[in-house]
Amino acid sequence: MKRVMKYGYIIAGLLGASVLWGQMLEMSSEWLEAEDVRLMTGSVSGKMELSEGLELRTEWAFNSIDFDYRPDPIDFSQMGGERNEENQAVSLRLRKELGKWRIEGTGTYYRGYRSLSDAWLDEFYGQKYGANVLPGVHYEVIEPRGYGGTVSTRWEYLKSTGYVSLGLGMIQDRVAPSYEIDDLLTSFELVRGDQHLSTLLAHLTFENVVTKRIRVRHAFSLTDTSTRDVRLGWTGDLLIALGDDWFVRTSGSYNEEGTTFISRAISQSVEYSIGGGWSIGVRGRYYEDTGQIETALASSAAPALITRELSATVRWISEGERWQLMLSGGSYRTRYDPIGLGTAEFVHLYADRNWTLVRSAVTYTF
Amino acid sequence: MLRLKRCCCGVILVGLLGLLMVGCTVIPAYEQGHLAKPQMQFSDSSALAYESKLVSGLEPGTDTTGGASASGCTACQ
Repeated sequence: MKRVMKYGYIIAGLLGASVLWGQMLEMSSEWLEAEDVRLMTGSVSGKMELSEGLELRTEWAFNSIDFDYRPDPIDFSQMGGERNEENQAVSLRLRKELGKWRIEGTGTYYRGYRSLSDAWLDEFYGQKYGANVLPGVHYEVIEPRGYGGTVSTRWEYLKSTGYVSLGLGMIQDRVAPSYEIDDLLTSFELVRGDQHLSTLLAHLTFENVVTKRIRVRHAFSLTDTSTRDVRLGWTGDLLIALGDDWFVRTSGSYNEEGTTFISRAISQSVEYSIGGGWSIGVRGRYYEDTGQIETALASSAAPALITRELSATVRWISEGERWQLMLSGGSYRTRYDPIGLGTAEFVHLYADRNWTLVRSAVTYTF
Repeated sequence: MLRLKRCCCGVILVGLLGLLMVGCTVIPAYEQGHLAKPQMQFSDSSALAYESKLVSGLEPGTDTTGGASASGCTACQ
């Protein structure tokens, strides 16, 4: 609530601007909490038509990361405590419809830590090397930030049934780096990882209507981040209308980075329309990966992870789809492989957790 | 593990089959009633989103933000 009050002027400004000039207004929030971690995100976005076929979408989002920092019990140089981080992001999207073609450009800027592990690791390095007693580089307090942009085009090659889109993008990130003690045989010195990361992105997406009850989408992606191997990914979605009121959605994904990191996920949701615009649904999801890529002997790379999600959703969509409301809640579990000797100090970061997940969203079209 | 692989393969096969099947026929507009329903579309509306943004931030393999946080590891280099 404090944060809502703190950012109230931004939310109020965006709401006001959307009401005055907008055509669509949307607010969404998510809350994910475990015993020692609370993650929250919220966003306000609006859409307006600048001229015929030219649409501008703006979004402001904030994230908060709150956690109880617990160091390795045998590391007496570190102290436990609470840490709170906030992240804000703004993004713009310009979209132009040109008959069978759609051209789109987006831009994003953010400040702050983007994930729990980034904030946790910064606390760890700050406590471990903040005293600056080792030769070599010194620990620096860094505010992570970044910006990025994408351009994409979509071609409707079959009327209302076949689409192909291609997108290219870039992201520049300034991250809180890692630190290591380098063994120089006769002495030791502290070395720092990269602070600046450049990323190039590309995606190719096919969306097709197969029958009057089935829609599919395949997205192939390529992500090339400096100092890392190229990541190749695929995401597939299969939507089936089983009847007038039953809808199922199956999604799968596969990602590969170099020869060592592989992730897979599959999800299944079933939704039933109970009438009056209301629908209820359940969703299950399973994810697994082989663990993050270790490039050092003492590494903060995460061990292999398995997650499971089970949630229930209630939706209400008014006639004409002017109002769209969604409320979802469920459970989410993260299970890590046992950590190795090189990652023993991160035992509390990569601890198994049982999370509670709550999501809500409301969209109004003027 | 084996079950997951089979499921993934199933999704890929059905999807690819769908991809191959299109192009033969165009579904006329009057037969797209089911497809026009919100649950049958890929929408950018948050109220129709199925994936959690926060969950993807905890899974290095499904991070949708791209860039540093989606590159396997940001601080383990």
